[in-house]
Amino acid sequence: MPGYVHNLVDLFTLAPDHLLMSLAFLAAIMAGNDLVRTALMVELTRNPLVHMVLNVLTLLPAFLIAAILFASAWLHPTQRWINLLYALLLYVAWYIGGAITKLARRDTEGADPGFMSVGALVTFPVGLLAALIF
Amino acid sequence: MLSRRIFRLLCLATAAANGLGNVGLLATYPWLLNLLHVPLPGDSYSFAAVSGFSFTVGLLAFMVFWNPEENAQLLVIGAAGKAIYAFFTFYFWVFHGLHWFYLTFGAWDAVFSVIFLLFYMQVRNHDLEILNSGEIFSSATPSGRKALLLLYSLTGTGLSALENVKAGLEANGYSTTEYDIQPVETDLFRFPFTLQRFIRIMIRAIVRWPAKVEPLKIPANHDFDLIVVFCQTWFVGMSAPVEGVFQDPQNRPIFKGRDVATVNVCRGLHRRSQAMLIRWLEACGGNVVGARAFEHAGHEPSRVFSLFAYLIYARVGEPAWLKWFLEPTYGLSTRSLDDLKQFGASLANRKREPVLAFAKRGVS
Repeated sequence: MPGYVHNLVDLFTLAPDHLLMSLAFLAAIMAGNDLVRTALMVELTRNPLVHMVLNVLTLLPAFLIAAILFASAWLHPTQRWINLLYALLLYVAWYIGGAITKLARRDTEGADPGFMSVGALVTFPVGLLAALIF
Repeated sequence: MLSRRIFRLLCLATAAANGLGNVGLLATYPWLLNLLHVPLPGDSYSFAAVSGFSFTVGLLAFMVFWNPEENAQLLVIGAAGKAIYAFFTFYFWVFHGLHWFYLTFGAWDAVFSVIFLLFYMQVRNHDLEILNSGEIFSSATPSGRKALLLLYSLTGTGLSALENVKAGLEANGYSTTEYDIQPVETDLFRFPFTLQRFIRIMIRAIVRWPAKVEPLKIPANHDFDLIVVFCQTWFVGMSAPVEGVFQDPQNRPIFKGRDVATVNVCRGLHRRSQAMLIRWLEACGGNVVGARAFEHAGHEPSRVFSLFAYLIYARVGEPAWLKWFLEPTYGLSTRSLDDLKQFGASLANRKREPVLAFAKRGVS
């Protein structure tokens, strides 16, 4: 495996050697997701591709964190339970990404705790399952 | 909320940092890095090239500072460039021992990629923010005191919105005509759903599969001086049958040169469906004088689960075992309904000036 791929896997799987860095990197992705989503929300209003992207971005962090929990439990089983707490921190970052859009204009929807909770129904069962399996 | 002025000043700050800072850095880096005990860059060519690119981002930021509205798209390029730079700096700091001094540039760029995106949100589609603030734009048409209310509501929640706008209009001297949009695929767009039909509607809403509707039996030379269009949000966008009205070219002349207003009803996401509706109306030549969006009553997360429960069971408070968690009502709050009545009144009493509303507010 090339070195940079190994490094990226470390960043994406909460590797114990780079845990804080990995958390910071993933938190930036979670927050960035909602920033991009909000910026796109009123653009290209008749473009189906943009619309599909927006629907994907609505729940993408939930699936991404689920995949991270699974991969992390597989690659770094010693921390499979504490990862659930880290996942919660990533949800906070996801929330912040939406909430800070209110700094730009009053009529954004901000964070969407509704679909975040739907996402939690995907993320945490996968995380729990992975913790039990590995 | 951060004002336009603050965002402009932040753009000026990064313009100075990227523009002047890079020139200064290139001119003095051997001396400066020695002073700070920072190792000299291993590759002078790459260092100079990165400084050159960074300088151009400074120019970009200055152009945004100078005229944000004209140069809003540059903010997207700037945000992407700064985010990429921040990532690589972070990566090399974590895995290749890059000195912290260089990381400060990455951190600066990470912050500014967020600032650029926020400013982009603020600058673009500013007319929607004005409309959502409650402003009613002036009319460009003579008043006939007749309003057409166009509605499609799958579950019936839009009906209460319509009734209240109608009450507000009629209390202020308007006569109203309701018109139900009829989808051609009546077997699909029917409530309650089966799971299969719900999934079909969902997938079609996500990929924007058009829904044909029966042609509106309204002549282009009708005598309504105001058309109010009611629309729900389906998977972030407009409900398919309402968009179907605009996708049929035969219906478009109905809106041309007329005052139009929009009411969006949703669980919690209104921005895209509202923007889609308003842009369609403008594309048809309508003069958008007002727009409101209302969310269902209640709080998250119970509101979103109440929506799904209602779509599955077609009754409030079902399933019984989840009743403690679900919202006691489905749809708009009493306060929202009162606001809609007031919206109807405001539309009826809108000012009349011979200047088109969209020309006045500068649509971007």
